[in-house]
Amino acid sequence: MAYEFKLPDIGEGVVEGEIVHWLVATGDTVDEDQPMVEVMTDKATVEIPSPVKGTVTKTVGGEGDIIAVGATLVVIDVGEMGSADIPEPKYAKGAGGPADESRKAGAPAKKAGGGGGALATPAVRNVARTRGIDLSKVTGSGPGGRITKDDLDQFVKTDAVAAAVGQAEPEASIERIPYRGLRRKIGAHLSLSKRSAVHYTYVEEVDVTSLVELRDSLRVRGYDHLNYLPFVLKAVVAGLKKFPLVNSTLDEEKEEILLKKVYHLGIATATEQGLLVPVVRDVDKKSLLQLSSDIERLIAGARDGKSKLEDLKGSTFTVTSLGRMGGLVATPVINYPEVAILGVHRIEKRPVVRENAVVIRDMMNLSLSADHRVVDGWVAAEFIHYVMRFLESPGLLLLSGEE
Amino acid sequence: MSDTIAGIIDEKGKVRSGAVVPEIGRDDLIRLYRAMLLNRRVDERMLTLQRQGRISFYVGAAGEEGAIIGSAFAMQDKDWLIPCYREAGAAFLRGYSLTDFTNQLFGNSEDKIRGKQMPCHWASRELRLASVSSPVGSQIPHANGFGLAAKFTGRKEVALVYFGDGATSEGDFHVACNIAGVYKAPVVFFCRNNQWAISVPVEVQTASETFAIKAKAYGIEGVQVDGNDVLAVFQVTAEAAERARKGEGATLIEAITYRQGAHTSSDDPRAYRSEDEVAVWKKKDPIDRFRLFLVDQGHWSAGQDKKLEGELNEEIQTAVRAAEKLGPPDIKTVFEDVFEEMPWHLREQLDELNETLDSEVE
Repeated sequence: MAYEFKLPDIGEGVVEGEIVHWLVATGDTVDEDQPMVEVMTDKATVEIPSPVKGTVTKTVGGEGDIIAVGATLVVIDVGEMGSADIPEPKYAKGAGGPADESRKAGAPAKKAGGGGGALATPAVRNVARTRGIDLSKVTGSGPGGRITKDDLDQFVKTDAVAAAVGQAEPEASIERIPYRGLRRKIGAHLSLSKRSAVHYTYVEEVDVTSLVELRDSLRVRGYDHLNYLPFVLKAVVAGLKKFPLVNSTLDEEKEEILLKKVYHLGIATATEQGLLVPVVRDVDKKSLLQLSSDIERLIAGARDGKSKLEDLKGSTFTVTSLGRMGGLVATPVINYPEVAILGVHRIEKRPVVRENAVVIRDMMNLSLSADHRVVDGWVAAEFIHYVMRFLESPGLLLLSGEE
Repeated sequence: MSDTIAGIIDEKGKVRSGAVVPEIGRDDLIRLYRAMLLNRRVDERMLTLQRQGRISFYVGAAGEEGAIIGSAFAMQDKDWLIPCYREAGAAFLRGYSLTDFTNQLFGNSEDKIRGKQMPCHWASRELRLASVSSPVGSQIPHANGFGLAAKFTGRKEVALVYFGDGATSEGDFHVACNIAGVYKAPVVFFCRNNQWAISVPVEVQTASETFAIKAKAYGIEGVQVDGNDVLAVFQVTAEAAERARKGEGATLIEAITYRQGAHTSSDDPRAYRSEDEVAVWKKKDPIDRFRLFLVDQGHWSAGQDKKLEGELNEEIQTAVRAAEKLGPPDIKTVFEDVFEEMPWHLREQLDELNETLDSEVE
């Protein structure tokens, strides 16, 4: 009768073991309790003794192979012995998946998060399991190649996305687009921001009826290119001057907050290739018309792919104009290492209450995301309310800088 | 051997000069030897079963049998023994049967605690063996409870609690020693200093000169004994128990010994200590030493030893065969043993289980 000896759980809850050394070979006779093989698990390297006497007819796996708990390790011919005489190990049941398989050490583990020889703390393994990441495919950056949570983030950002998509759908129903170039740069930049900055978003509603009237009156006088953005930039700069923390960056290494004394505002711009942020320099020193022509030139350059490198560098704060479809509320991602970003929503007529009467006014929402490590909620609120004053009463812009 | 460490027989089984052999009859000496050897052989067998996947876990005592069994032998049957987890030998000496022990390892239908504990977590109210409590050091204050209860109700009972060198770094150790000192609790604190707290060596466990010296701070007695000398362990434990019984308070005994094997079946000591170190301590083995002593004293022979080995082997095989044949406890026992009266939520779950089982039968 052939007796199949399956690898038992030789630690408390191990799922697999690596064959270190065979002590018997096919054709050998074994006695009860004679050591057959040395197996290494997460916990210990141990000799596995045979529970029966007989002749080895098969050994599964070579030295260095990983065997799952519950997989057959050795087959022993026990001769005339009946099954009633053979002990039935209770702790040789696999944790799941096909048991009768072995694989080379270092090869991908079957179970996500298992990772075989991959070094990772239980917490990281748990994250990997939850997110379906195969640890054996992740390169560890920690001491001795240990995999950290950051490594998992990095991994997900790059290879894993394509792989996950590939697994979810049959091949024919997918078009594969390389995640490269600008797309990948945007991804890396924004995930760095999300990983580093403590994002929160503050939303306010502004009554821009006066601003709309002002712009309309300027347009009929021939300034038809002038839109609202230059006014917003001017109002923002007034706010940044009043609340310097909002115009800063955080140097984590030196543990310093750098307050910027220049006001270069990035304008988040959708292009065919993806999001670009051309920079309007020295907003504080420019007139509305100068700003208008700068914005026009920079946005056109970005859309035509003609931006110069310096046009895309050095912003101290970013404005993202959410345009005509701009929704009510957004949670913009900060243009790292800046500490805040302002989302400007569409202007529309809404019923509002003024002096106990419902009236129709031109209204606009502002969504400010800030990095809580530098800008506390009350600073953000005060900043927004200060900016709002200039948008509600654009005449104040004539006085800005004189306060 | 240092002057301050109690010892009676040396590594060759000879009586140390100036030492007085305690008055123990031959039958009892053989009983001690038998318990130590049984402890060793049971450990070997059960570790093998664990490697074969037949039991899930095991804690062995190889090298510490002298400390464990010598101390248990010094106590009276009415005294409570509060184990750490390595003291199966003490239980065997008390009369805890190999059958009960093996049934517990398998967690089968005859297991007295009905599969509710990990292997090696035995208990016996009848034999006054408290339940093995794995969390390090948590059992030490329990000894004060047993001891002080006896004291307040006028019973001349003593509690002996076992723990390792690692447990002395736990707050529970301090709390227990302090209370025992203040209330003169009839307690024996028995520290098996086996040199290793899993992988932490004794050098980084304490900055004290010894573990025994810590007793001074609590106003209790502190003694060091050669833990591989079963007679010396018996002697100092008997003295400590006597003091406790007379109302003179607690004693901290530091038995200097060595864990020859792994911490448990889940541990691999080759990862943190040298084979040379193990070899040095194996030469001080408590069983070898006691056998030599018995032979030297004319109480024992090689023939008798061989016969005993055969008996023990048969006893162990019989217990294992019987235990392995039994199935698990009835599933319904899952709901029992915790509450005197089953609360409504368990009652509901039990009803649901019964319904499921009934529908499966149909």
